Amino acid sequence: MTHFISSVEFIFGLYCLLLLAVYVMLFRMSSLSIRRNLRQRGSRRIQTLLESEIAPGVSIVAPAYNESVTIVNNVRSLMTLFYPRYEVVIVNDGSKDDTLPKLIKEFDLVAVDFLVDYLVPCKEIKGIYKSRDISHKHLTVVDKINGGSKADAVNAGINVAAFPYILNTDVDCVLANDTLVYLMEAVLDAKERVIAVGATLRMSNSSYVDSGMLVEAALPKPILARFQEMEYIRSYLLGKMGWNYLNCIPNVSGGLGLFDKEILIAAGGYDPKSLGEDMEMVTRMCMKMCDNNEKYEVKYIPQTLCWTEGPDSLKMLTRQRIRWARGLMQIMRTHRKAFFNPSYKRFGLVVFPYNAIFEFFAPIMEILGIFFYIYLILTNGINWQMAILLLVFVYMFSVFLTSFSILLDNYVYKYYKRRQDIVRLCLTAFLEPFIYHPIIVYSSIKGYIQELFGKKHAWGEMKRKGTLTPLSPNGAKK
Amino acid sequence: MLSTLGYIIHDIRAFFEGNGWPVFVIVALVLSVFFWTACLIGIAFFYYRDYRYRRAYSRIYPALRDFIYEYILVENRTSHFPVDKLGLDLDNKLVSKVVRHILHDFIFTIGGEKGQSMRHLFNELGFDKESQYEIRHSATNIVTTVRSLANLALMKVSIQDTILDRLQKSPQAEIRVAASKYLLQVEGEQAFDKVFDGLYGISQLHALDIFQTVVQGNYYGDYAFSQWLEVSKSFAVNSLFMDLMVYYQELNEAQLWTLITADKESKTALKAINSLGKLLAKDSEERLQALYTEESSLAAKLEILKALGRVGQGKSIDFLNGLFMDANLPLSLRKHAYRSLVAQKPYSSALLRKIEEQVDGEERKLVRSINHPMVHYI
Repeated sequence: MTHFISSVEFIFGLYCLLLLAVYVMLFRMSSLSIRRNLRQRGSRRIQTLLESEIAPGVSIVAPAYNESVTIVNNVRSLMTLFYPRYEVVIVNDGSKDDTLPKLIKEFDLVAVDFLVDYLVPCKEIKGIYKSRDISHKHLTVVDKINGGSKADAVNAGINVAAFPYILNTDVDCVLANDTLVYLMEAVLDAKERVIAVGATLRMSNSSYVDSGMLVEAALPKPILARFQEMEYIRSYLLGKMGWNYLNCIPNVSGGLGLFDKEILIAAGGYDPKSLGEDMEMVTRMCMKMCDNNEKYEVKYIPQTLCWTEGPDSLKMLTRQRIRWARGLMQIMRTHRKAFFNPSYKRFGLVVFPYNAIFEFFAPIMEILGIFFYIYLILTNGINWQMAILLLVFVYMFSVFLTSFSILLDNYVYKYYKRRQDIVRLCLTAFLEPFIYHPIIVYSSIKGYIQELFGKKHAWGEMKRKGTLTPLSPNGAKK
Repeated sequence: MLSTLGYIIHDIRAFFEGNGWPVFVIVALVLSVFFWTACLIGIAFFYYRDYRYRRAYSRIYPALRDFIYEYILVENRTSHFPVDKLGLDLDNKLVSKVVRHILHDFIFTIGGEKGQSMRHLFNELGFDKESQYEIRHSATNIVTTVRSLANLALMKVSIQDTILDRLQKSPQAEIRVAASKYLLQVEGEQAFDKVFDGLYGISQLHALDIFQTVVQGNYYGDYAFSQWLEVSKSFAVNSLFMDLMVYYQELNEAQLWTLITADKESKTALKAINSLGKLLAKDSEERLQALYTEESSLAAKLEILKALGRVGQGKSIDFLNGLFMDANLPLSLRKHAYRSLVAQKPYSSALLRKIEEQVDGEERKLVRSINHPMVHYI
């Protein structure tokens, strides 16, 4: 029995050590990656791409389902981006409300003849609308039968898109004006073919907006949204920027991702059955490039370019995280052949195993660890002095990583105007291990169990509250 | 191998089953406290530096703005500015940096003669010498060198040839590109040979940057950009020359065909086909049709069809019609074949009328889609 206990201790210890080593490595690499990005930014003028007559075109694809409350402002926001060649493709995914009539009225749309080439599978497209107003000539609205998933709607947009790059975003996201410039710079400045680029996302809850454009980023007032803001900053700035240094990005967020259309189509488009369609798509694109023996890059940039409305109720948050957990499990199962497969190069040897061992198994190990702890307490087999030291260390490490990323983010990019916002966010990091993290672990385990027993996933609808704070007519904050 | 691994695992286990954990945790705790403190001090230092800059900016900006308004915009002075009246200690690095940044903003927004006066003010404040000094002494610091080169280009200040040569041969692509841009901005077309001869290892973004610098200059001559096209050069470099050829309408079919035949599947070949179309290469129409039958990739076929439409001499009408009518072809090929027929309208008008009368079903939808004025953009 003693031998068994020490073996279990050894396994947990080794797992934690490896995880710690990965975090330290990511911390170092993200610092290098951010430094490199700042250096590139400092030696370049943003106008170069902005003024260019030969910049590659980008199609922005944004699906909308029952978005009547916010659709007009959101489309306006997408139409105000700074870039010389782009179009906006809004996909009305069979909305039951007046999303489409509102768009038709506001943007003076008319149905046009358009023969859709179904390059990637999607439900039938009922009609294509273009604006009679010359100032909205870049806008295309696609009306289709509801496909039951975002993936199906994005596929419809891809089939209609004209340009070689696709920017996939949610219609409720508020994008920074220079989003396309930053993302395309990353594509054009790479040594190899860039198949996907992502950037940092943040919570738009409580931020100030005017005519669909973000005027001032503010810390979300609801505590759950604030936790998510903190989590996003840490995950993007330290996690994804770290992997960016090694060209090992596992995922480009569904909220904001720029893709090479040719590869996107060659890989078969988004999978409507997947619950983690964004990660699944990047996985398939990477595997496709490896199958064709072509070199590629997936890139991330540290600037926040997208503000999205995060779930601010416990029910919505757990539902979102359950879906993510199920999506991850599906990917692990569907693409298991990539696991430590040398023919998939760094994707098979680093990205996929990391996802499996440290993303997929992490919640399981945590739950098992808690049970083991309880067992040791009950059998009086615990060294309390060491246990407390270890807890203090892990707690400090977690708080340090989070507060460091918040301070670094604010020093470099200065999104918050008010200092108290930074202090509040740093203080939130102290509460995270006790409040937010258990919710995430619980949701992940619940997601795994649901997936294991094949429970049907109900997509549900995220009610848009329009939590962006509009400016009053005289420009003052309400 | 396996036995060595086994020993290692055994040793690790022995370490942790003995005094390993307490030692590890204490070392980790001490290290993390040390690391925490160092990071927080570092961040505090950066915040303080930032705060000093903003404070200096808010102090200097009103004084400098008033000075510029008074002497350049109102008094119309072009040189010999009373810089002592500014009362700024320009030997102080922070003050000097802030003044340069403010002047840049003004120089970017004020053009013409006033812009020239601003440049004189920049020089009289001694910043031209400072930029030159920075270039000589910070050649390894990319950001400083690139910014200094941009400053000097903006002020049209000349740099010693030996320093420029060194910068043009820098291992850093950013510095090489900045030196090339400097040459193009200061010397104009006189620098073309020197710049294009030394272009290597640049990204597409750098190529775009150089393209912008050339076309935003005052050059309207007939320089042969095509002489620099080479099969061995990277896509970014060849792409830059092809873009310049298209912009200045310099047609050199032989050079473009060399790129196409060297590697038909490459991005360079696709761009060369595209350039043939945009340059209206009349003599290439039949050769492009022949290339279509040899090609296997869809992307290359699409580029050929687009080029045929642009060249539009009427020699490919039957060929394009055959493709449009072939129901077994992918829709994108048929769409571009028809679009190219539309582009050749004086020659294809009769055929187009006939097609519009005859087709039905999906083909009719395709025709209507291409002819629709509002989907022309797509």
